[in-house]
Amino acid sequence: MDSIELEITTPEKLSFKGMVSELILPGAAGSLGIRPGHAPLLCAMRAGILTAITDDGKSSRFVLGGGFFEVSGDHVRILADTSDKEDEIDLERAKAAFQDADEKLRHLTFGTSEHLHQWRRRARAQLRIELAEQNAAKTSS
Amino acid sequence: MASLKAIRTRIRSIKSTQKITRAMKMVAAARLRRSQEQALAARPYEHLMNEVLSGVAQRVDLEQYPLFKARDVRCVEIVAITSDRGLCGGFNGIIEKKVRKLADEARANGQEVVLRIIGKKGTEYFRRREVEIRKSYTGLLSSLKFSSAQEIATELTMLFNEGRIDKVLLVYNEFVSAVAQKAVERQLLPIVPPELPKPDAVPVDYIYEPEATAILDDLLPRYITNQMWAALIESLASENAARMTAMDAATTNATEMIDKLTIQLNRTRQAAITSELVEIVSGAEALKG
Repeated sequence: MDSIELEITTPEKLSFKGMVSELILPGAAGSLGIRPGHAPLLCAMRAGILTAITDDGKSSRFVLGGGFFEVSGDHVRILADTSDKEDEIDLERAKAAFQDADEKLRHLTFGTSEHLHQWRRRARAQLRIELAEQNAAKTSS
Repeated sequence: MASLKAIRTRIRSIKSTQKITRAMKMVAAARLRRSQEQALAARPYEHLMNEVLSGVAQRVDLEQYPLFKARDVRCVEIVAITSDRGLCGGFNGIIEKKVRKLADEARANGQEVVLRIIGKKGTEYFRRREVEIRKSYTGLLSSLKFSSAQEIATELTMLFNEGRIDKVLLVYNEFVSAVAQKAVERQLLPIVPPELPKPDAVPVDYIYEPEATAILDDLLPRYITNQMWAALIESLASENAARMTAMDAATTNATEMIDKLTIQLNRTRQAAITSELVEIVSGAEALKG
């Protein structure tokens, strides 16, 4: 048992399925790493970045919305609200979403559900922008 | 008997109708493929969600969760999913019938009924009836977004938590196959815990992070939203399937009708020629004598 079968699902699609050897996940209480042979775990997840390292040492990253993940045996299954792979992020769109959410937040009162929604949206957009920019720097260098 | 001209006009008009129904069938078939893919793509999430919820449900006392707790029903909200556009056979009819039946039953038990209708067709139908429509949505189906399901689910949960409604039923067409849809009702609230896929299987002893009850708090809204979303995409796939079947039948009917009218046209033309001939011959005979 030296690799993990990872499945990332969102309500709209199965976003990723494949074998990985190590995972770093944005757990609700902080990041946590999962390696093969982990004890069964059901964990809440905040919006954040998932890093998956494959057997050949390459890593790929995903921006995930909040959700849950389940570790059982050599399976890790993720229930995320949204999922974007680093090289599939539309930087322009993420920037536009960030601007839009930021603008809306100025006019909303803290504590309302709409405020929370936009706040999360801005956080997600920010993560996307960071990842997309890092990815661009990586490929150009 | 109809005149030659009348029959020719009729045939021409049926031919152009047939062109339309054939085109609509093609469009529906293309849309069906897309919505079927969408419905299939949502399955892994749904399965996993059901598994996780039924697992968690086994280790917490569900009675303490208001979202699970069945209470005396004073007011039922029925969420019906219909279509925005017509020409899809009995698609909307069976939903409307089912909703009326459910509403009548609830009223017979002394419960109040409010409707929430997705789709223009259902809205138009129930506007003329004696039931109250709390909210209706049109145009939501043409570009179906997850956030729509989220919005509806959040609103329903809020109404339920405030005690303004005690039960929420979902009525929609379930996608069975490209030629079959089934009108189903599902109880959205209070939540009915999903059955374990393998009831005999020993549940995995998970570590919960945070503890199971906190996970449940997070899980339940997502579960309700996903139920709503699944119903919407199932219904959309069914709608396209129903339209495809209906338009296929219409095209076939048009072909049959054209065939029949063509025979009639030929007979009429023959009869006209025959009678003309008889007239000429008998005229000639008369002159001879």
